[in-house]
Amino acid sequence: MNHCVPDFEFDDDHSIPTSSVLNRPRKSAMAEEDVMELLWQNGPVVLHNQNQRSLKKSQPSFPADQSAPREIPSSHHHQQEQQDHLFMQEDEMASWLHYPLNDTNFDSDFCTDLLYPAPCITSTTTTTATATATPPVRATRVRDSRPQLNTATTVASAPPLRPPIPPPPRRTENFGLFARHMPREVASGPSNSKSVTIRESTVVDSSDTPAPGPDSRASEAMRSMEGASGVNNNNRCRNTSGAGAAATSSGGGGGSSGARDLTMCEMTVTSSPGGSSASAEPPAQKPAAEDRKRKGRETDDEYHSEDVELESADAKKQSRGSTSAKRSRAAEVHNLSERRRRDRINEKMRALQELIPRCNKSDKASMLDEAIEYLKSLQLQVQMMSMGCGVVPMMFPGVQQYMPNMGMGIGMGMGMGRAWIWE
Amino acid sequence: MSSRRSRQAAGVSRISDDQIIELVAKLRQLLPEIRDRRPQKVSASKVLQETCNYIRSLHREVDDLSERLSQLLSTIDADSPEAAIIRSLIM
Repeated sequence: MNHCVPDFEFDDDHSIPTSSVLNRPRKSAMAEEDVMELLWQNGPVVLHNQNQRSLKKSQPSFPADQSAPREIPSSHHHQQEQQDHLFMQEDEMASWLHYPLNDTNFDSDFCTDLLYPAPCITSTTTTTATATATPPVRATRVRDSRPQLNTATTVASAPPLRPPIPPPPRRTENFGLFARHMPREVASGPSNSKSVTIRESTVVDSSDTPAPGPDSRASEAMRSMEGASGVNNNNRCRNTSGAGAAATSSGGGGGSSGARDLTMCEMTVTSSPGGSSASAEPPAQKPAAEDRKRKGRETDDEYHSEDVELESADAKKQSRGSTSAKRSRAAEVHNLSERRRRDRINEKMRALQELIPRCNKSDKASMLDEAIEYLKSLQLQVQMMSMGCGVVPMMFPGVQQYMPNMGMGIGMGMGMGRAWIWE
Repeated sequence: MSSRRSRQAAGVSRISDDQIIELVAKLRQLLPEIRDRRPQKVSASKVLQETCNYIRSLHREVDDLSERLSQLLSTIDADSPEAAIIRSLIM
């Protein structure tokens, strides 16, 4: 038993210091307390553990490498024994265990980037990870969640894993894999770079699509979509993601595994082209189909609905490939001008919305309605006030001769004023 | 022919298009500057811009008038009916 305990602490030392390096001092402190307790119980073990720990602390970046092989052989031996021991010491560590529950949320946000390569890492090191997971509850949970982790091998599944993975497996990743994160980030260069390259490929794709090529229609559609997305905040992300998917399908990049990353990355990527195309407002309504985008575009064309028809006609002719070059250029120019016009109109609408008090309508028609009403009421108010200003000086003598003119000019509720003026 | 295609493309937006055109026309009627140039086809952005400017000028005017009214209110008796009128105007 005592023989097992130091090994358990041994493993703990591996994970804790490295995790403390990653800004989890509390947990390490808590763990250290437990470690201290056990050390106190086992006299001869103290030196051994302290030495080990000092070694770890001196080399924060490398212990993971050392710990990994060390943990692997010991893990299999002591897994069960650990569990028994840990179950016994569960009361002591209960407080410590509860604490990580709170911390995992913090970590989940804090180390999300680390976690996404993590799933692919965990797949390769699940056994060792589970072995190195020191707390008993966590160990058991790791076992339960191991199939889940195993399923999450590809990077593509990393983003969808984000919500479904319950906190405990994350914690195990944190503890067991933070020791591995340092080397893994270096070693799993391919897996990391895969995600990075996928992201980069999305960037490249989205930037390449505007370039003319065989898929002129696709590029034009992309441009128009980008333009529309730039203008219509509703559909920005959706359109660009759709266009990006089309681009990748046409460009032959990514594939299904990268598709999700594409959609994820394009949300951020296209925000820059969207921003560059002048509308900087964050999308108010993200979920919108292309039809809505089209409708939104056409609603903007109040006086130039014919231009929209021309656009659609051009786009359709574009697909047929008849006089494609001229049409595409004309359509391009059209798109640009339309986009600029729409941008201006949207800008003015936003300014108007700010001016109108208590205007919570996002719909253009209702907003214009309110603007009209507000304008009328404002005009009326100004008129009344000017009349009121005119009323008071009437009190002074010598000004009375003006009153009839005022009374005649303004036939609105000034009967009372007229009455007391002539009193 | 082209109008038919556009109608097919967006049945709902057509309605809102007309609505918006009508509303913009109403706005134009309210605006003093553009009223004379009504026969002309003024762009929507111009109308919106003029509306914003007009609203701002009206706001300023309202502020000025309320200031004046409050000053006047101080000069006269508080119990007089005019004071009530002025107070109602200032709100």
